[in-house]
Amino acid sequence: MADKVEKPLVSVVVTCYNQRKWLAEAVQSVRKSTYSPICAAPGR
Amino acid sequence: MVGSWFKMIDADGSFLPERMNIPGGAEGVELNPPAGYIGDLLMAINFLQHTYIYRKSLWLGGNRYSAILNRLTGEDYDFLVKLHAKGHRLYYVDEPSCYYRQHGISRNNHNFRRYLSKFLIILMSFRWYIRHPRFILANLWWCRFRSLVADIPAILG
Repeated sequence: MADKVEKPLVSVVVTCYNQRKWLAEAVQSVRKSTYSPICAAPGR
Repeated sequence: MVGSWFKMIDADGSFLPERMNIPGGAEGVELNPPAGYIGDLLMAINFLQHTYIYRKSLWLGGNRYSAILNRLTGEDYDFLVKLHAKGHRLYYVDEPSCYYRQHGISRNNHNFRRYLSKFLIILMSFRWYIRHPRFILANLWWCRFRSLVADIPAILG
């Protein structure tokens, strides 16, 4: 019987400096990730 | 909620959806064994592009990006160099995990900034580099080489 290995939660940090016009595309690519669990790290 | 791992990506990049790699999972179980220990090689050349993943414990341990390099370029490389100089292990996963977009306002398009950041990186990890002086010249040479390939067309347009 194989033990179920719990995968670690990953925070994805999207850094942005003068890159606003590509930000939505980057966030979208994170949301499409097949890895789970994953969470967004809110910034300022 | 904050994960036990941090994965970095710049806003001008793009993830490949099925390529999240973590070199070690819950309770030390190796979910994806690392392709190779990069160790000293990273101190000589910045061959890593755009993304990496590291344990939250490193951040809680006080490791931070350089405020000076944040305004220049190379703060992510410096972050890894400092971790290596402190004895942390760095591994390379030999497969692409994201796209890198090179464009007109990319900070690494500026050779002067790149050279200056290299000098500062070496200076800030001086205690390690002075024990391994051959990596100083290698690091600066690689910087020059990269300037020759800086005009490669953008992957994402």
